[in-house]
Amino acid sequence: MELRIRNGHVIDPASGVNEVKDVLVRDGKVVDEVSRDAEEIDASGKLVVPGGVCPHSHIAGPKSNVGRLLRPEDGRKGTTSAGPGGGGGNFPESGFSLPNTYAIGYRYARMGYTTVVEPSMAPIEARHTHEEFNDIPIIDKAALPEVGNNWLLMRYLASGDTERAAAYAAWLIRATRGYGLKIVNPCGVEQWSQSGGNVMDLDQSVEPFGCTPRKIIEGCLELNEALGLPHSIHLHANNLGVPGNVETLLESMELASGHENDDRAVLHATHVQFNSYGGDSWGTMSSEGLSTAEFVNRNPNVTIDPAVVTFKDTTTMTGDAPFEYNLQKMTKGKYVGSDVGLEGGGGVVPFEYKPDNPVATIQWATGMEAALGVEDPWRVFLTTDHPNAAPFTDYPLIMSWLASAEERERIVSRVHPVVNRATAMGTIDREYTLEELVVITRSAPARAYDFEGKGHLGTGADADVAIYDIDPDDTDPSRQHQELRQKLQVANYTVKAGEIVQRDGEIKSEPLGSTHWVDATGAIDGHVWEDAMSDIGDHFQNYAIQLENYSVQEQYLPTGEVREVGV
Amino acid sequence: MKTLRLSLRDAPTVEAELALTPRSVVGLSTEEVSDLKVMHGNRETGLVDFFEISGETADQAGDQRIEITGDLAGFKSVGRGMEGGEIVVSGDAGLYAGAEMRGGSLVVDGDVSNWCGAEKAGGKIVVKGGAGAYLGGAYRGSRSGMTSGSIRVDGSVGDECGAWMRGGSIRVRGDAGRMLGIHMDGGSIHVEGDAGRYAGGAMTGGRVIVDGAVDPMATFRRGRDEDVEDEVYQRFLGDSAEGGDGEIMTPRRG
Repeated sequence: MELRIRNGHVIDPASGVNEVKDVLVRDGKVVDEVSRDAEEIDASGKLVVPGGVCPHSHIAGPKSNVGRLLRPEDGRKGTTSAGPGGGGGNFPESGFSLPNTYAIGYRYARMGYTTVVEPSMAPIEARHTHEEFNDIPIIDKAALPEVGNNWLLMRYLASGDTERAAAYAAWLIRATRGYGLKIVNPCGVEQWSQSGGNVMDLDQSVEPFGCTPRKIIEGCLELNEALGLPHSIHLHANNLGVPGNVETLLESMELASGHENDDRAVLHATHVQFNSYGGDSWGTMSSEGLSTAEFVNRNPNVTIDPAVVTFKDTTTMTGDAPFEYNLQKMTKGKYVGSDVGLEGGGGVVPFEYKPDNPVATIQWATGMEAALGVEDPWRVFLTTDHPNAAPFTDYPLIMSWLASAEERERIVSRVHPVVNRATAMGTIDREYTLEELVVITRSAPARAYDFEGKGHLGTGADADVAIYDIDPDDTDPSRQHQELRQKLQVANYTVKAGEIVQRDGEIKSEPLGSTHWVDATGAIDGHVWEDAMSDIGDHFQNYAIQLENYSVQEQYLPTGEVREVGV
Repeated sequence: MKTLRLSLRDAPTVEAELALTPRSVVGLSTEEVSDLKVMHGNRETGLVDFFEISGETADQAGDQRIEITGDLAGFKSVGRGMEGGEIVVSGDAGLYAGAEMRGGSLVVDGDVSNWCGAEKAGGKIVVKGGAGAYLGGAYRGSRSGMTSGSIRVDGSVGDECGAWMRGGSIRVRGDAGRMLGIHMDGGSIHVEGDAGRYAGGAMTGGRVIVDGAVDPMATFRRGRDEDVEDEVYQRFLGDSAEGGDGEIMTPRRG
């Protein structure tokens, strides 16, 4: 099948393109030539960009499902019927912060997004995660197994055995059909599972492992590069959600110095909004989003995503079990917490960010400051840590804020007055250009994950394309922020692997999309591999499940695409 | 006031969704009313597939009366979300009768099923028979049941009557099931008969009056007696398990 997207204004920062031209597609790839019979889309006066790449969004796995069970009231929001007259898809949609699986695919596609990474997969629950992936249409997916509180990894890294740790990590990524390494509140979740506490700094040891957050982060930085994984380590830092926690985040990011990779950063600090607070109590809390951004500006081997709050009734869900435990003590509402034996934990708590609340106001400012403060758009990726700070469907809203200082001023005047005392929002006049918005929503996250075919429209790229009714030559995002938001919310066309999947909000086709995973076991020397396998065998005596039932079998990835590294 | 008359001819074989309110028929011809969509299980059918239709339609919802004769137990959502006008049913009604109602009046001669008046925010419901569970209550997961308006039930009601109620009034001539007014925070419920276990459980505000037997939980403290219409009522305040400030009142006997 061939497609000619004619005469659109193409912004493809990875290829250095910002001009009116055609984009040609054959057999799911961008090509140099198509025949005269090619189907044609007239994109005159429209914006043509690579399909969006969402680097961090909780879309699948037990947490999502528990959230849906916990919040039937959320499920009743956003319901549509299937087919024409409804959402256009084969299945009905439901949910706002916790969309059903179909709605996740449809809604990303409507926004012009075509690839999404689930950043938090408990390894033992990987099979469930992949089964849900298989229920999410259209978008490509990948998942990061969590390792920050993994017993075997903690043992290895406490003793400095990075070699066997790397072998185990490679085995684990393959076993879970994962894509890279996620570290959630290293050691803190294990400490909570044992005693109900948490770890407070990078050198607090969790027993009997004798392991510390510092050892986990440093060890993973080293083994991640030794394995040659396509993505950097993905860090949810300690002390999340606590006033004064920016110190912990900066100290954690500092650990990246001394580690290098020519093609990408070595450490991605995720949802930094939740980790960039000053002060020492809720009363003295302030935004340190700019401090985090300035650190990134000085350290090219670090990337961040902000997790911007949009003042909605949403749902928090994280592998950071102690955080959720403490949050529900404040909300006094519904809560599910879990200990994932030998590997971590998690929790789900509904949460509404209210604009007249001082803490929520500071949180809003913190995320915005982080996003606005990073000078190089290639090192900041648009997120809401869906659904923690907001549902992913608010990306266009946030893009309009980033592009318009005037609109931000209006919001500053409407939120809690603490915004003037405890944040820098009044002092920032930076406005993202359209091209920069394209970078933070597709080009940069695609590069961070080294998704080779994504985030650009050069020859050979995956034909994942979004076409918006925005004429870059005739649009002032700063002034027309509202129009910009509406047009980014629903793309004119979304093309996935060369196929028109969405048009003006109506789902036209729903292919499953691929699941990308990594096999790095080829990077391990034979004797190290054997030693590690022997340890894993012994370790599985602690599990409630047998080793041979642990690995996710190939049939759970009907559209799996493996990336082999280290061979 | 203009009256539209529907007479049940063929009862549904599985539950059907009767999305019919005064507003939905204003300004329509009888033919157009006949074509109004009714989901019958998984089939899209028309009103005319079940009812004989006659009478007239008004120009605005407030002037529209709809009289329906027949047993509507197989129809869900009778008067759901109505904003004004009147619906009178001479028979039973199924799930969600008058739920999410915002104004007008709904009168049902027979019984109603569960979720009658759930999360309603105005208007008046009169049920001359009995009602199922969650009368004036909140849907699953929601933290707000009915917020205003009134409901009167001449018979008895099921469990969780007035759950998460925030305002308005409910009067029950018969008995109430378990968990009457659970999580209630405002408004009043008056049950003339008996109430089942856990009445007022987790209530934080509002008033529950039970003329018959009621057994307030140990988490309610005894308040000062109060005279209501020449009768002395005992007051119980709670639910202290939720730091609550609600009241359960019941006549002082002997």
